[in-house]
Amino acid sequence: MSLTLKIVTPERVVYEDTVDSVSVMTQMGEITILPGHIPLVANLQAGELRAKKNDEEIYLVSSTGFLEVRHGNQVTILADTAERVEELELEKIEAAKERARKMLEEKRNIDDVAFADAAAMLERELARERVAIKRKKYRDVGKQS
Amino acid sequence: MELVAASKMRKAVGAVSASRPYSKLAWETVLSVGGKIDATLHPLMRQSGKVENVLILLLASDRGLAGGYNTNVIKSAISGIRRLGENVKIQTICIGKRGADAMRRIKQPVLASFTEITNNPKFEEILPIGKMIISEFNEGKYDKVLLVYTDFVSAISQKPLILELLPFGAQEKSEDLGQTGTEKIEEKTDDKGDYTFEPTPRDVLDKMLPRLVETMVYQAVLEAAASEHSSRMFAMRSASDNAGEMIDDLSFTFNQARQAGITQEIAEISSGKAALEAK
Repeated sequence: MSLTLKIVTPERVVYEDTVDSVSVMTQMGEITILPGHIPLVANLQAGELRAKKNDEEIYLVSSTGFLEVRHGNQVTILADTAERVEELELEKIEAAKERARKMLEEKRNIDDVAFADAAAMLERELARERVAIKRKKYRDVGKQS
Repeated sequence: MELVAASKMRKAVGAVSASRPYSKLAWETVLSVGGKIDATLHPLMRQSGKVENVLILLLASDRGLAGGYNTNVIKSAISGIRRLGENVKIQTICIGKRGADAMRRIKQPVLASFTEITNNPKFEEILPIGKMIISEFNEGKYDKVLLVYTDFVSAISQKPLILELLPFGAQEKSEDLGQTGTEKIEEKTDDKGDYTFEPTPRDVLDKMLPRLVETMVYQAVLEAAASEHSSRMFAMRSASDNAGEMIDDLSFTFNQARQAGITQEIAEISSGKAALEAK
């Protein structure tokens, strides 16, 4: 038994494959979905997303969105943004994070909606950075040995 | 003009096909979740049981010269209005000048009219429309929200559609609605059992349903934009073809007339000369 995993954003289909398990960050904390899971709908938190396929792990990072588990081991992740770790570039994330932080400062006392947007953006960039740094370390260690 | 429309169409088609999987899956989620949970759980799922006030969101273009594009979508909106019957109060929100003009012509009240959106739709621009629909529906002013737009099937085929947007969960009962993109969403009968919601159903639905309304409106706008540009491209192509034909026809007639004139002049000159020689 395996899971049919589909990760889509409004811009594109990020990932589509059959996997053995998938771990995602929900509002309530990290959960891992294995085949045979009961139907579930959950809110997604910005963070790391791991899919396991034949002992090989695939890392992605997603921002807020939704997770749906359906009968027949179908897992659908509707995220606002998502990308594979290989696509992440630390320098760019660093710059985007600074931009988001600056925006957050600017909007703090002016506009509630813009402030919330900026806060969400910062959170997303922070999640990206976290995952990118973590995975970079692993990659580097892998190279040395 | 044809080339301008063609390049706009390419862009619009790219956008529409990129966001289709997302909105299709999101819509499927609504359909499968909607049938399973208590409809009183969220204001956006409220079924009032009666149809007295209906809000129609009509998507047409700002400018004409797009073949039958505007006519078709407006026609389907009007037939949709007729089908609702006379006792139903209808309000419309129009995107695109042509739609608003048409609704005013048939004396339908227009609640709001948005223009300059279909050219290059952005999610941020659609957001206020989605928010407006949600707040109007939440206040209980309407029993139903319908979306009238043109579905982009292919470059040569676009189909006007009426989609029942709100309340969520009612879609299964309506016939030949509930289409996004080209495929019809099959009903899944093997779906049994209730969904688990984390953290709570209310929390999830609070985030999910507004987002879905926005996504659906955005998708409809993208579909409409792609349809508009492709039908404009074809209108422009047939206009160029027709103009070319007319030019051919006219230059043929012109050449004939010119040749006839020359022939006549020669005939006159030579007959004049013949008359002189005869004397």
